[in-house]
Amino acid sequence: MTFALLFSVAVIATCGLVYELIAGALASYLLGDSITQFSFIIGVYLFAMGVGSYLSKFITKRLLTTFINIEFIVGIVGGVSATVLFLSFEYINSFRILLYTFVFVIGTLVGLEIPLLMRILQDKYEFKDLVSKVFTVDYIGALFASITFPLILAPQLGLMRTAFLFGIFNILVGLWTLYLFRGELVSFKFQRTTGIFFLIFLVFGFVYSNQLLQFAESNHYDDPIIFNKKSPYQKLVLTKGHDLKLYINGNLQFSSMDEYRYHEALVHPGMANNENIKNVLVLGGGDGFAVREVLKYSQVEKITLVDLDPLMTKLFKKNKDLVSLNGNSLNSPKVTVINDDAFVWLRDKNKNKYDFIIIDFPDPSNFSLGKLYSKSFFKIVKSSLSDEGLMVIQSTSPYFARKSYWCVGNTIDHVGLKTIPYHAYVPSFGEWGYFMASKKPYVFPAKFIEDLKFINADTLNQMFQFPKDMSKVKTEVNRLNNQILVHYFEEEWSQFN
Amino acid sequence: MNINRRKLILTAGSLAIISLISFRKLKGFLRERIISGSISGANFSRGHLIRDPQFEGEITHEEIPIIVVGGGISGLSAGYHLAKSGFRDFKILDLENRVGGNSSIGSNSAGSYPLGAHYVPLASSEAIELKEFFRDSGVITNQDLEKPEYNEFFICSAPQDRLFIHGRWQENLQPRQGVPIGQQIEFERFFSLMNKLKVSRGADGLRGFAIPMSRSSKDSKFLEYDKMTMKEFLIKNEFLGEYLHWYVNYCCQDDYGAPMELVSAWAGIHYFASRNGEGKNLNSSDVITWPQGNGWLVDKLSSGIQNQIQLNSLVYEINEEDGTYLIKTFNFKTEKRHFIRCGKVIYASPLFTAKRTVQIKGLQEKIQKINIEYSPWMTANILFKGSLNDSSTPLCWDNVNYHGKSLGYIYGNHQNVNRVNEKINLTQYWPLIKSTPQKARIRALTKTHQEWCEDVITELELTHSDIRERIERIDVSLWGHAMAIPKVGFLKRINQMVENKNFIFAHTDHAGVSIFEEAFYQGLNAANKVIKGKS
Repeated sequence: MTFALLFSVAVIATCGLVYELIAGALASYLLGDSITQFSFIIGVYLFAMGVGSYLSKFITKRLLTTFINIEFIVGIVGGVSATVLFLSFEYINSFRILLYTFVFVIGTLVGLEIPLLMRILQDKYEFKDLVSKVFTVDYIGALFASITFPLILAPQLGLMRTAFLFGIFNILVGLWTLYLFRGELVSFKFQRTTGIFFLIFLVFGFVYSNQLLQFAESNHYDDPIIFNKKSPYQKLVLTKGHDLKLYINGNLQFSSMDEYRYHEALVHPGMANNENIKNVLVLGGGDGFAVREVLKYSQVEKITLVDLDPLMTKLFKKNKDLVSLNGNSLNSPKVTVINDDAFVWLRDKNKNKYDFIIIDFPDPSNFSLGKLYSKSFFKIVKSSLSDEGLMVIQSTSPYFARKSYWCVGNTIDHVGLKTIPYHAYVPSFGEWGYFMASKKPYVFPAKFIEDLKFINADTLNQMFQFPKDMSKVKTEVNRLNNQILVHYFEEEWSQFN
Repeated sequence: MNINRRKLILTAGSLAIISLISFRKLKGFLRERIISGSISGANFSRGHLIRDPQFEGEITHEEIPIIVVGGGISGLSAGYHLAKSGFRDFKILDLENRVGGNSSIGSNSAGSYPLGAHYVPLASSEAIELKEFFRDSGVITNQDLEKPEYNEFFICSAPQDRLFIHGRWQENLQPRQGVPIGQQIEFERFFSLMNKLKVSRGADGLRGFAIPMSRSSKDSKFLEYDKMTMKEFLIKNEFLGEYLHWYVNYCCQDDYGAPMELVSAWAGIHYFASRNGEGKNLNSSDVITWPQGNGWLVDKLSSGIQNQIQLNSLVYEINEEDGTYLIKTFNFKTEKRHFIRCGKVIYASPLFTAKRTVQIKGLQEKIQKINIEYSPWMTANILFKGSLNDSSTPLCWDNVNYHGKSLGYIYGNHQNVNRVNEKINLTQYWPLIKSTPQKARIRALTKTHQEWCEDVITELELTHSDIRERIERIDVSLWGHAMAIPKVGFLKRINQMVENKNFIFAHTDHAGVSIFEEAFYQGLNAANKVIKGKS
């Protein structure tokens, strides 16, 4: 029995320190500045232990029962601590209050443990033996924790599982003590049931913590996730509720409710302009929606789609929901899908000229994307256009990012193409902008095909009108060596986030 | 009793901090991962043979009108300009198995990378012939050299540079983050002085600081600056702030491989005040660069003279006999000696080699009197998997750590237009200035690849704590005599340079500073002398 109790002391010491380390590591991970976080956590934890020790003198009756209860509470609170903190980080404003509440509660309870245990054991040993034995194993347990935590526990199990594991250990110590002193305890049965219930709960947590983490992630999205995969280039998440939504790196790409507005506006002002468009190039647009719109014109002979990410084009070729949404466009015999970098492909590999080039890249939110809106890029686009050819490009929002929008137009003007600005309202995105560009002046189409939900000759008129708050502003030309567009974009969107 | 617990928890807590911080190091240590790679650079085992030439083997003889010794930028430029004027009867000899000298390149699965020089500034107003070369090689894309338009794929893309200072990255190299306002104003004062010097001209009507240097004013008001070090210049002008001192010292090392305590103020100012190049489609501070660095320029200079280039050829003795020169060479490929008789020599190798090889009476004694100190360099190319965008200030072309020992690293794939690179090259630059150049060279030669790797990674870990695991390969290049240091009084030295009618020196040792433009002009001038002598 002596060994058993001393072993429990070692386990308790390990658990106590592990919770402290978890809190510290978690705070450094989520809040940054590891030295400050660790320092604060240690301080609060120590202080709470002092509070616990102080409080221990008020416990005068039923020491054993209280000790077992404390083990159960430490186990359950410590066990769920990392998970609760992780899951709540995104959702609560005062994360630090929650963090320090956890640290304080655990600290106080851990502070109670040793004084109580020593009082339980005081009749069984001489005082000097008791102190020496208890502290020896206490130190050993602590050493064990501080070595295994960074080397094995944190990297192998992760913080959530480590917390669950040590919660389980605390509960087991409680249950074992319960078993050892089963004769002396009044509320034996009730405590046993509680202990076992907590144990099962924590084991569940330990086993399913990965799923819990995924659940935490799915809370970012409004609807259930039906596809979630990372390619070397980006992370694709598809959700399905009332509508289908695609997120790339967490940003909404389209909603099936209104994507037709965006894509009709992208494709038809160009396609309806000229009956001789036969050879079409789509850059970006791996969702196949622009291609779907182009395929509505039977005179089109060939569509080449260049998208960086094979995962994206594969998804939109194979996924049932998506294929029905894009009309199976990517599997059309007229369509050739090329997975390559658009800039490199157009500059180094393409030899054809196109009647219509549709550019549907992500917004210029970083320098590698900014290159795709540079003067150097548009020069190459221009040289890939047939003499009668048209080019259209999605150009972010003229309302939310007015300078960015007009900078795209200004840059295209500078390679000697004639540009026409226009915009459309897409509920999911708001007011969205495009530029039509061509070598010869663009003529407004008089007629549109029947099969459209959004565009007709009347709406087209409005699309070319720019109200005062979106009208042209002076900008610099976006070049590879200034990447001014990325700066504009960052500046403008930061006001809306 | 609580006190004991408290002590314990405190100790354990601090232990945890330490072990968390050093966890990755520990992990790396436990695995003892050997990083693959090589040591290359200047081939010193070949080069050192001229100290005591003991070559054997068959001797073949040949007569060639013009010989260029050395295939670095100076030698290639000489060859390029000879060929441009219709001369074909010449040979360029280099002991390496490639041409390019300091501008050589290496390559791996992420592409080509520079082993040394990696960019050129815009051509300054005096550098008309350089602009012509730029136009002919496609760097400048229009005909009007007064208002040149540079090829946009060669202009260094944005974002150009960032500095890691006080624990964070900031945009641009000039320290700003955490710099007291008084010291920031000092920077402005410094730059406005440099801009004044940039346009100031001497009594002879020439700019005080021009590129090529030989076109600078000889007015004594500028030559005065060669009598003090760059540091003395700063102090004399009451530039005392540590941040400006760091910056100027950084720039001295960047161009001259030596600290500002050694560099002549004339050379130090030249760095800031000579470059007045402009272009229609760029800013004057922009530079021209390629993923493979100046290796791109090497290709352009050498592509038309491939038949004139003789690699693996060590020149170990040059003698004069009856008005012609006898050049003794050893070919490492054939392992044979090859003696060449020629009428003219362009010696486009460093002067310290000429002290060993040139046995020409009258010339030899003069050469021995000239003393040049060379700075040794190490560059390390790091092949790296994944992205390095771990900061809100994104990865730039040039990435410098204020607190670092190296000059920072260049992101090799920066000029590529593609969005995603699976693997990238980073090239780290180290001028070896900790001890004397002599000692540093000896130390450098004895260091193992693993020891270099440790230096390189430790330096990178200061700014990217998790980089070690993702490094695939490190290739180290050593340049024992990378460049002549423009020390105080160097202008006097270069004015005393010796040569005779048919034996012409062409090397940045004779220009004074080791930069592409000077090498280009050394070669051009030598070629012109040969051409004039013939006609």
